[in-house]
Amino acid sequence: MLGKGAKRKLDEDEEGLEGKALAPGAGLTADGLSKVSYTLQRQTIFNISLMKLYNHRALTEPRLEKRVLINNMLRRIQEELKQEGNLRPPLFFPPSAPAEHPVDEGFGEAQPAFSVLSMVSTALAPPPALPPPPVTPPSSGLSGPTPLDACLTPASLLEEDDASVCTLPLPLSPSPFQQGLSRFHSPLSRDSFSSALDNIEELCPSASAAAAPITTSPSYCGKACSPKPEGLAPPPEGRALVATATESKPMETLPPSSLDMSTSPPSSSSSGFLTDLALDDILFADIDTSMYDFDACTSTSGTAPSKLSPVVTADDLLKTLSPYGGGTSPVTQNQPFKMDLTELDHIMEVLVGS
Amino acid sequence: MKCFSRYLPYLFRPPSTILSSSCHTEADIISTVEFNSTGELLATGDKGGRVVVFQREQESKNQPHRRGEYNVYSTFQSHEPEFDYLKSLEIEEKINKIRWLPQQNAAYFLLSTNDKTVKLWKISERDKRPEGYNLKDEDGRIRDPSTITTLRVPVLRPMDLMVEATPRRVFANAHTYHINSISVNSDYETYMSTDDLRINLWNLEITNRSFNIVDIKPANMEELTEVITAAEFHPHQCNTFVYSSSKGSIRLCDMRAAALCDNHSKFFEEPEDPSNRSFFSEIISSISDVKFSHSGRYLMTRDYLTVKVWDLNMESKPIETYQVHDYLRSKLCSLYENDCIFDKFECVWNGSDSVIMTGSYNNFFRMFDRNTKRDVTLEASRENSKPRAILKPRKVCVGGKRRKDEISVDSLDFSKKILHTTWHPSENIIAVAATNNLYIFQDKVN
Repeated sequence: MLGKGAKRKLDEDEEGLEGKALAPGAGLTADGLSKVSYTLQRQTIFNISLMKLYNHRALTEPRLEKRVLINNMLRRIQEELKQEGNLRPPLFFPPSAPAEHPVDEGFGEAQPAFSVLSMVSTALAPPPALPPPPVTPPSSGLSGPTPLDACLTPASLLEEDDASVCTLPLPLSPSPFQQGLSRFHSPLSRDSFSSALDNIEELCPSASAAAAPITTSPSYCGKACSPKPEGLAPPPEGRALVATATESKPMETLPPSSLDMSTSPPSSSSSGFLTDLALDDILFADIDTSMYDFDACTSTSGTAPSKLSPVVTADDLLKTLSPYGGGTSPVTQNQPFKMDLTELDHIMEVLVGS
Repeated sequence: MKCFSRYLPYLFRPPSTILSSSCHTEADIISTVEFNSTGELLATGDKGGRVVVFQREQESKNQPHRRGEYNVYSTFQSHEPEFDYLKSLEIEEKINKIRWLPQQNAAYFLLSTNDKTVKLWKISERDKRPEGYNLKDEDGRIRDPSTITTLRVPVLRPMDLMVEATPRRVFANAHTYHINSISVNSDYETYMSTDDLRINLWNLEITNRSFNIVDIKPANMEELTEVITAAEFHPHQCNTFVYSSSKGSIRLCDMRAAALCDNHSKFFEEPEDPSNRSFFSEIISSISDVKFSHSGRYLMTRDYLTVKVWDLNMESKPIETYQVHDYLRSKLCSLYENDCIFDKFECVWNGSDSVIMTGSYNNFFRMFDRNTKRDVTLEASRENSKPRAILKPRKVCVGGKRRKDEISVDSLDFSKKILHTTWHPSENIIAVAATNNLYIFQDKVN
């Protein structure tokens, strides 16, 4: 239905008309239109998915299955965008403010604004300039800033500028996280969702070849991979790209902040949409965030900037203050979030004032 | 399909519902229907936590046309809303599933469950009461002992039939996530309750302990990509059960193999059709219901657009696939937006496993005859069904010219969905829940 370059039957008339109308002027091929409409649909679905996850204010606990399915959808789109990141023009996302997280024992969601921004920045990145691992961890694939759309918050520029700072040399011996990342990409290389993927494979045949033999657990493309003999219980190594992505960040920027490692699993924080946030440690190193640390596990981190003490976002504070967020599992994020400095000031004022 | 040539629609509503279906209260929405093992009783659960049990009238020669009508037998409040103080969230009292236990004495037993707690209810009749107490008089007032001069033995006298429901067991605090299924084992001693990530095995007599037999919760919840959607015990083999997942796979497990059944014995999954792939492929492959055939030889699964019949001996693909409403395939994006794509439709076998039935939108429900390969779409609505009138097959037109009596895809009412249906274990009687209305259809073959 959405194969490479193939016109979808139902939109055939539509595209025909559009093609006639635009082709002479814009010089776009029918194939290009199909890709554009695919991109538009994907973006629409992405926005809808984000809204579903974050604008849902239920009195009862939201259904886990629904959230898992929406989350999988978002991850898949994010993966696609990342794969296509160096081939497509900048994608414009509205800077949506993340709403209340659905509280749950452990299944957490990301903050969409930041996830979006991080995605954009990764999408814009040119092919990784780094040597192996074969697959670019999303957090370090930014070696050249590209002008973003004006509707993005300034924080995105911050992230972008400091992305180059962030591209520290990765440990050459593949960490389990990097392996997890490469593992996750392999099934995707078989997923012909995006036509651009084939182009990428052509460009980096060694990358896909190296990643190909490694299979993952029953992931979305699990059918193509060798089926796991056991049930749904995942193997001990990292599987999902998203989880490993967030964990790879502290790995590459700091000597093991064991606090972060140990606390990020139980925290219901970002499911991996957050990438490339180590720079916060550099940016906000002078800010004393000890007071904002609500996480019981990391409460001992103090104010040492060398440790990855969390910078609490506005949403964390909202969450802990709101009746729905209160009393939940240690939900506050451990990974530092990018935050506009003005927003941070505002939050501080609110806190001090109250 | 001879058996569906005539249907007598019989309209039934829970007593508290407002007559007009357009202004029903939320609590009256029927959330589960289930015949008992003889078909004599039909239980419905609703969103308000109530259970209404209907009983079939005995046949009488005086009124042959009223053969087998179902009347309200008992109504009781099974579950109450609760509040989880730890998470500051409400626990819905909505009855997710009802399962009957096989009858062993004069009383009837059923299991009903909401998101967190399973309860065993005993429904019994009382048609006699003792009269002639010594210490209290007929009104129940205590008599002054000094006025008693003689003693008598109380005798049982007939009274108006009273049906009482009492909770006999409460199986609580065993599920962190929402319970989606319960299934009674063929050994009649145990049952299992299934939530999104775990399956627990209970003994019907023991409420303070359950045994976890399946656990798919990952160590890191952020890596969760698949949940359990339904589970059922094999109808004859008490060691075998299946559970379905949100990724469209079914796992058959044998409890004799290991205490923890994380390793499946069989894995049923159909490879994805590349020509049909879309953004929503995973969501529409999520299995909403799984049912063993009465014979125990086959398995039926329902995903968003199809019903599939599997042979337990073949794991690679189903032996039959039926399109329920394939015309929705082009509307998946809108259905995703309005959340309809997450609707969980149930499916059911008839007594002889020759026909399968499932619901759709616009109060339509579909039947598929496995032998003749013919299918029919029927509608459960008051306007179209007068008592004892034959149900007219409906048709959805997918494009082109719309014939008279056909309904176009865009005119379908997606708020009228038939999620819950059940079939009498031996006769052609079906119960269909359409929002807050219960329809019971019988086949009258003369």
